[in-house]
Amino acid sequence: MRNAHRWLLVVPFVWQAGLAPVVNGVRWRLAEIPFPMLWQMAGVVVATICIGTVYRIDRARSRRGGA
Amino acid sequence: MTLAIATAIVLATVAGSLVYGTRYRRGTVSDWAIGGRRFGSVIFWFMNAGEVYTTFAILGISGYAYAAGAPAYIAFTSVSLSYALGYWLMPRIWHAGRRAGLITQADYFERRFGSRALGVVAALVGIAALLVYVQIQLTGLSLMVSILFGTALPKEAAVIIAAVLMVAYVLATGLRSAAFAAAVKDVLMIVIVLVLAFAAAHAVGLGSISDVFATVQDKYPGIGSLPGYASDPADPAMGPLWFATSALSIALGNWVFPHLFQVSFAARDVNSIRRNAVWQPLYSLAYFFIVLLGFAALLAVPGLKDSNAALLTFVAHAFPAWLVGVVAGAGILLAIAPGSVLLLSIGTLVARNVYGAVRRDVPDRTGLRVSRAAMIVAAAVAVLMTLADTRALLTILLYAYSAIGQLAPAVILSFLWRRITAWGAFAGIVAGFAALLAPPLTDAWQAIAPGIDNGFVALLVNAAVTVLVSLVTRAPSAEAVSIADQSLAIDEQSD
Repeated sequence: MRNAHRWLLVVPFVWQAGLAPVVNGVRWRLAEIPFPMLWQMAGVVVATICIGTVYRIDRARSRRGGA
Repeated sequence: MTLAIATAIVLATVAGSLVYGTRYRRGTVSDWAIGGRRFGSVIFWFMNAGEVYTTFAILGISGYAYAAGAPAYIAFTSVSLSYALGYWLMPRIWHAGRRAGLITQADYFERRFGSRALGVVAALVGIAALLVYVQIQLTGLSLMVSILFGTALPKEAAVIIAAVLMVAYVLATGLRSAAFAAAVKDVLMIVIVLVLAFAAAHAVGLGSISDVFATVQDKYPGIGSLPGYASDPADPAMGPLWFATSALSIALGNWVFPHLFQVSFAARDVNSIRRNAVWQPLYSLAYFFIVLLGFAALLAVPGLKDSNAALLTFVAHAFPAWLVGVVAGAGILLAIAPGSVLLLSIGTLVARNVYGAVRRDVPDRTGLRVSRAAMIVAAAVAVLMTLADTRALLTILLYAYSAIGQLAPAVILSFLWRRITAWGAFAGIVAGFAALLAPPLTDAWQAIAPGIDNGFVALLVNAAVTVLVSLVTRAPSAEAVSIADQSLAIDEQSD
């Protein structure tokens, strides 16, 4: 599929919404920050990496003129 | 001194906005309402950030952290999900706008569905939601003024002055001035939030940021995970299902606010939009400091009745007057920068999709005049609404988001499915409103899935009805459908 890489955009939904109930019970803390909060903040970074990767692929394609 | 510093910041920003806006002024509706479709990556990023980080966002999220705890994490979730979807959706909106010369969201509805009536419905729903949203900004502002300035500036006067400022600096020059004010606001806000956050631990008598987290979790067990310390852990009201479905509702609802269509149309090219979608979520990490300040406030000034006031009460309580003045100045910009864009969108909707539906082929100059007049009227209405209403900010916003969110299934399906019809969209909106507002229905959802966001259920009902009714009504013309057709798009443009 030509636009298969766009499915990376679903990852933030799974991480930040889908897994929110799963990580809610984790009691472990880093620098006293509650784990569910760390999880959501990590999710922001994951989202940035996913969207950024999709962008790089889209842009590389348009430069090759393959769009 | 507090008042003087705040006034200086606000007036300097308004003046700067006017100068910046005037440089680009061309006197057309497109120029005024959507910056002539010429915003590059940087200004486009600030324009978006301007609409994400508002008085509500800052006061509401710190208030959530203060009153409950973990539910405030939704700030991290909703921005990333909005832009993960936005990466896909915004370029589509932008292409349709460029191809068909659209300026408002209701223009899109009218053209894509080939129905002037649906355009009017979309415009009216949009105007109502935007008015509530302006009201939220003004309510946040009046709260801020009453806490930070005390009796130096009466609340009513502050609300009226803020509304006048919102109108004043975009009336002549339009969206570009609003983008400038948004940029000043965001730079100022980041600096202030960092200063406050690092001073917060000291202000509550602790050594470090970690100590604030440790202490608040000792004193308020359960604050770090859903549903927060204030509810029974078994209470679904702010539990994980609420969290996930509310975040989805916000991500979907965000894009169908009319002003975000106009912001999308303002981009110069697709890459400005995509780059913004990559970098916008990272900014939401700044909410770490907002949550921290909410927790610090809980330690320093516990027991406040209005949780939205927590952050500001803490600031007024713990920091010197000059710093309070800077915070107040930035806080006022936090309300008037997004507020002006909302009012501008209302003005454009009225001129193009309400006035324009009655009198066809309105000339550009008349359109601009009607837009400006409508903007002034809308500001006056929002002032009256603000002075008469005192509900909690968050309740109002989630309500408005859910209501306007009923346009989301039609918008998203219109880019995916050629067969969607005006009647389908209309029936979906009506069914969605019913599912959202009728108590027997909302009780039923809560019985089936306790804690689920009613707005989210309404979206599902809306989407199902939209599809069913579309299948049995006549499809829009091929010409109408073509404006949302990506295969015709000059999809990728070089940098």
